[in-house]
Formats: sequence, C-alpha cells, structure tokens
Amino acid sequence: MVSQPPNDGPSDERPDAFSTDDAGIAFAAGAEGSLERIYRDASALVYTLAVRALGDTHEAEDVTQQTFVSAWRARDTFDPSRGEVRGWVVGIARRRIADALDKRRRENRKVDAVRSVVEDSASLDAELDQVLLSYELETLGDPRRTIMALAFVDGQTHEQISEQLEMPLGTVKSHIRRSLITLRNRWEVSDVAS
Amino acid sequence: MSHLDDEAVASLSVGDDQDATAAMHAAECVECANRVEHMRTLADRIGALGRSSGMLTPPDRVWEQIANELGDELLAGSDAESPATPLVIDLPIAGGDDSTDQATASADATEEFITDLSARRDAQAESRGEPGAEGAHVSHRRYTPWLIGIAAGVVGVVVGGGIVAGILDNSDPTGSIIAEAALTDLATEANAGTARVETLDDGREVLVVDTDTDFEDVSDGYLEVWLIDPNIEGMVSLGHLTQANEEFVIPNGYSVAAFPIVDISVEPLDGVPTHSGDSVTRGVLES
Repeated sequence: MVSQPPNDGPSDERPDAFSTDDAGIAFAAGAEGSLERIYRDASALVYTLAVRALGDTHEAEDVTQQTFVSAWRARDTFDPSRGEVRGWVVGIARRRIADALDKRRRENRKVDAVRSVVEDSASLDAELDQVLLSYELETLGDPRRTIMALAFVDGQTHEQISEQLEMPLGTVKSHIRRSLITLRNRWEVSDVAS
Repeated sequence: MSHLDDEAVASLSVGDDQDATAAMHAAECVECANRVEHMRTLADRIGALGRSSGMLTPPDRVWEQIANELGDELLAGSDAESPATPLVIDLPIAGGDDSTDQATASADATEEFITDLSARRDAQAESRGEPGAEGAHVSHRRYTPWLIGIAAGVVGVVVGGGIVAGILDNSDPTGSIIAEAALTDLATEANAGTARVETLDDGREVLVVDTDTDFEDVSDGYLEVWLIDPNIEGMVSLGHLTQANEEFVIPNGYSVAAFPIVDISVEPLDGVPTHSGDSVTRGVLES
C-alpha cells in the first residue's frame, strides 16, 4: 500500500463516468455488444451484492444471470436521461435478491414471515449500501483509495498520511476533499436510482 | 455570504476548520450545516467498511449462461423495436438518405473534438499542476450530475429524431437562423429565454443569447456561455455574458450539430479556465 509512487498529483476522479453514460444509451437502443459491456462493468457489483445478501454463491450466480437477462429484456424501459445504467441494473438486482429471499422464506414457511420481511428488507438495504460504497471506493483508484483507507479506516491524521506517503500535506487534503465529494455525488446518484 | 462550496463542506466534515469564515457560515446556516453533517456521515460509513474491499467476481460461466439464455435475442436487429448498432447511422433520419452521411460525418466530427479537447485538458493539467501542486485539482473539475443527465437526454433526442441531421440539413427558408434552443433556468425549471444560431452574410455562425438570467444573483463570479457535445466530453467556451441580449461568434470548425447543448455557467473568479460545473441555464439547439 505504501509502495506506490509518492507525490502522485490528484488524478481526475472517475474517468469512466461519461463512458458509463454512453453505455447506457447504447444499451437502451439495443446495440450489439452493449449488454456485454454493461456486464463487464457491473457484474462484480451485482454478484457481490447477491453473495452478501444470500450467503450462497450458487444462488448468487443465478441471481446475477437473471438480473442481466431481465435487464436486456426490459431495456426499452430504461431511460438514459434519468440516470446511469449501472444504478438501474442494481435496482433490478435488488428485486431479484428480494425475490430469492422471498422464495426461501416461503419454502421455510415461517410463521413470523411478515415481521421478518420488514427486518430483512431494512438489513438488505444496509448491506447493499455498504457494498455499493465499497465499490465506489474501489473505483476511486490509487492514490485516493489508499488515502481514504488511511484516513477513515485507520484513523490517521492528514499529517501522518502525508509523511507515510511522502506526499505534500495540501495534496493529501485535496485528495480527501475531492474523494468525499465524488463519493457523495455517486452516493446520491445511487440513492436516486434505487 | 453565499452558501459553502463543496470543497469547504468537505474540509469542515473532516474537522479542517482553518477557514474561519466557512466555519462561521456553517454555524449559522442550517442548509450548509446539514451538508457538512451529511458528508460526515459518509466519512463514518467509509470508516465502518474496514480495509477489505470484498468485491467478488462471478465465474465466467455466468456470462456464458446469460448469452445462452438470450441466444438470438442478443443480436442487434433481431428485435424490430430496438435499432441496431451503430447508433446514429441506422436511425430513421429526417431528410432522406443523403443526411445519413451527414450524420456519420457529424459523429466523426464529435469524436475528433473529443480527442482534441481531452488532449488539451491533459496538456493543461500538466502545465498547471506539477505533481503535488495544490493547483492541480482545480483544473480537473468535473461536471455535476445534471450534466450527465442532460447529456443522456440530448443523445436520447438525437437517437429518437435525428436532430443531428436536421441541423446539418439546413432547409430554413430564411437562411439565417439554423438552430434554436429554449433556455431553462436549472434552479426553477422556468423558461429563461432563447438561444439561436444564425449564419451571418460572411458565413460566420453566431450564437445569439436572449436570456432572462438575473445578473444581480451573480455577485461573486461571472456568467460564461458554452457549447457542449452530447457526451459532455467536449465543450467550447464562447465568452462571458454581460447583458441579457448578447451575440457570440462560434469558432470556425465547431458545428452546433456536434455541440448542441447551450450552457450558461457561473464561473468563480479563480482563474481556472474549465467549466465550474455550476450551470444556471441550459437549452438544446434544435433546427
């Protein structure tokens, strides 16, 4: 983590933000190859959400498959002007995961089904939000990802991070500010999409 | 004072309150205090995530199964409702076959401009920001989410109706106005005037902006007029707006078909030549 080149100036966040948008437009129009492009971009996110929520990789594979098959068949209902395709796909995944949990619950024929539905959907959302935030942190790339972990997970001061990474203090602070702003913007987009 | 900018909110949220004016503002302004609190919550959540990213990659067979299940449905053109790739070329475009070539040409032109502009941005970043320099981040300002939204909207319209071809296929009998946009105030969604592209006798194209923008509101910056492409990759500044009715010469070589978004932004007095992301008015040029 600390072996990265020091003094790496702030890089532009999310260079892919607009190409994702492109992908959504191509997808909505049913362009050949557009589903594969979106799969490459979002499958890890969908699969991780499913594994975390269902605790079973086989079921998670099924949910991932169903999510992308449904997405392709419902592409006419995706409106690129209302948000990014990734958020839309995550919305589908959320429903597929909820369906899988419902099915499991019906099979178990729990007496207190009603109560657990409420509990599960709240904890499911919290779980999904956590995975989404992890994903967004990953996409910040280094050095920002490392700096954010040092600052917020390890609780290091800006001065300590500056020394450890041999990076000017102002640059560290700037990376932290820009990363927070980016994550907040992404977070808001996800909230809208879900 | 006006509300805190994102940078100030982020600074305060991590306990960096060296900017006493900003800290005082946050102490008095509920809205800004909430924004700081919101960002602090985000920071807490990042801390709660721990170190491992925990992202998992599905096995390759998942994509194979998707491709199997969809089969022919995945092929472009197998579904009458969905236009095939490439996007612009195969669309029904008003004006007949010859406009197809024009649309293609315009797509090529857009790509060229994107390349040019990003090269320019990179060069600018290099010249402004030595590694580690504080100034580096400002030249990299990105655009706020509405820009992404409007970009998608614009392309959606292009996809649906062939505006690109329409603008190029200028059949306006007067010969002077080649495209027009209704401007919208982004804060209120209210009508904010019009912008139109006219061809002058000498062949130059001008953008005539006729806006209701309230100049009184822009006390700590100035208004800048931009033409932006549908991907929000390329943009060109036409100059700054100082009165309700003003005319801007469009640089030779920039077609409004490739840059159909008219955008008026508030630019802070920071000497940064890129778009601030703070747009107040917009419109999309249509023929």
